[in-house]
Amino acid sequence: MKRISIDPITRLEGHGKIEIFLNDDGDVANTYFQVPELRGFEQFCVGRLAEDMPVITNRICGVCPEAHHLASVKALDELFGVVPPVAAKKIRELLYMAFYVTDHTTHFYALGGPDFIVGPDAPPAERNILGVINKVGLDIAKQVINCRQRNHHVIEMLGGRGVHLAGGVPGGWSKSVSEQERKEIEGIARENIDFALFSLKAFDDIVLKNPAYLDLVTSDIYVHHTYYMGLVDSQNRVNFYDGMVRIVDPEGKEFVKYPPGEYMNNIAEHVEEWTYLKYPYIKKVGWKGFVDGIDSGIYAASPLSRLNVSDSMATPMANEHFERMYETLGSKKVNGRYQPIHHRLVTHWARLIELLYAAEHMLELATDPEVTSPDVRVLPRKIKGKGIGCVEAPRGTLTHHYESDDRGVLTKVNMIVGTTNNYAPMTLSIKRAAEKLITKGKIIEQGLLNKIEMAFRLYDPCLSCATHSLPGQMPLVVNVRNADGEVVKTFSRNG
Amino acid sequence: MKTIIIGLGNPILRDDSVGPRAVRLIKERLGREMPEGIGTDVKPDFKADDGADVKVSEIYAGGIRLLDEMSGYDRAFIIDSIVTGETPGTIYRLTADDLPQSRNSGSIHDMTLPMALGMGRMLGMRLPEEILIWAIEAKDVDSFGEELSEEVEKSLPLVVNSVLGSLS
Repeated sequence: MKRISIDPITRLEGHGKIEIFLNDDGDVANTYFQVPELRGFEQFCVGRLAEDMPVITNRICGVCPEAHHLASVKALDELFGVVPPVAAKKIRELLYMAFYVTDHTTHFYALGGPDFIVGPDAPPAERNILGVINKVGLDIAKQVINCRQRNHHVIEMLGGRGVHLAGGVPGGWSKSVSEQERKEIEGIARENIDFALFSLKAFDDIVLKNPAYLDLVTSDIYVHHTYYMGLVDSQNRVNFYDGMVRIVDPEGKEFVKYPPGEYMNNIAEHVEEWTYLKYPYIKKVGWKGFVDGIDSGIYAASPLSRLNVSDSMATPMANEHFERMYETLGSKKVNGRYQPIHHRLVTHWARLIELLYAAEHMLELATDPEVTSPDVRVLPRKIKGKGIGCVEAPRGTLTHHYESDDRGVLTKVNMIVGTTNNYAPMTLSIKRAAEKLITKGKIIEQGLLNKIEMAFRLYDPCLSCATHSLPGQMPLVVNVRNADGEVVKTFSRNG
Repeated sequence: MKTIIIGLGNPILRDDSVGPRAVRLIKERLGREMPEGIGTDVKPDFKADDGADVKVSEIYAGGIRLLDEMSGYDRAFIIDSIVTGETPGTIYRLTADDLPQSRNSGSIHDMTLPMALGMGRMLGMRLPEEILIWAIEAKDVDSFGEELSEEVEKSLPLVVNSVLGSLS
């Protein structure tokens, strides 16, 4: 990948800061999205033993340590040239499904859902989980809390620790699953399925049956015709843990499918002089600026993207909902698969379908006789010196790439984290929101912040590992600048 | 009286690790050594001077996660880093009523600490009557590393003493 060194002074700085630049006519010329970047992760890791990475990388981020832990052990499987036993792979997946259930649940009810459940025009102070409780009732919050607790219990049981889990080792898993544990997890998986179906029903009743919300979901404000990326299994179905990376073009045709180890041949990073963020794009299409369309290499990797790249879902009920979503939004089947949905707000619906898939797949794994096999580890006997591990993190495709010397001491570490994939699409969504609300120098102040925040929220950017955390909820600052670069208006909302 | 002492922060991000570091020292001072990278699953059972039960834990994400952690306790002491632009190493003692915006008390993925507490109360969860927050002004929260800045390092024993002093 090409690297360009840029004087940091020329870059804009700030936490969650958005700069909107207007042209001479007072229309939006460009929008810039700023987050500070963390320094020194590669230096922190180089010189350490490769086998320490699963417990180092899961400390990068307090939100998705499970995703980092699994991408890391998969990279180590390859670096040490060892294939884990089937039971170990299933235990890893079982834990990962429990994680997906908690993560997607929390996002929908606490972060994304309030826009719909409380209403997009409700005052910001009410557009949160407390507003959801006031509208839907206390029971919903109890269900969310219970769902989190029971799945955290599974993560702790399988991972050895609730936070900073430690179960993954190169060549397998450090502990097998007892029959008693399996039974308990089976019960939890069944409760998760009920909860996922309940959540989809709630989405149906509150959003799809409300013409105003449906109009919002299908309005053109967040429509971007980009490429999409996601992992798929051998039958081109969504897979969170393993598979090939599939990219489809904006018309839904498969553009490329490659093993994760070939990411460097397929993805490049674009650098802008005003930010430390790097914008990944599809190498063979090229960087054409912040524009969508088939000639622009911008792609998205999100719950909606994963569904867009897949032919179907691997579990029956999730597949019914998958088909219903595409049919409802008028997507036609071409060559046996649905054309992609480009309306970004549909990501919330896709997330709930993934929640159901995770719950169903959790039950499949929990009732699989192999999952209690004591054979969970193959001891590594050699060092190949290079390993690339990839999983679907809730916020996009996550890749860990390690290289080591012949003692297993790290010489190189690179990561492409889920959120990074979505920097360019997020910029597109922010620009579109700004264009809708600013014309000829006239700013519709009401709703500007929320329209921009809704764009953020649907991607649920996890900046703690991509760049790093912002304090509390995002303390968003939006500066509007005229053609001379002077600030003409500032909007802010502290979390 | 059941007390929980929570160190918030990323253990490998320089000054952001001040919370986890402080609780490790507190745990040592309370009489046992804390295993490296302890999680919430370890439940030490200390007795403070007044005979109170004390649990010490280390977590990274705030918001709803912090709510889970505090549930069931009478008192919660939270140690976290903060960035306000004041002199690095400055120690602030806050309460939940101060609407604290320390670095990790909320979560951008779910909710702020006051919102989490509001939800917990609506749900009738048993939440601490008293929540005290020690927030230490950080100098470097942008670099990975296991060393604190000199200024924050100097404040660490003061924070530990202050938290332990508040136990009794």
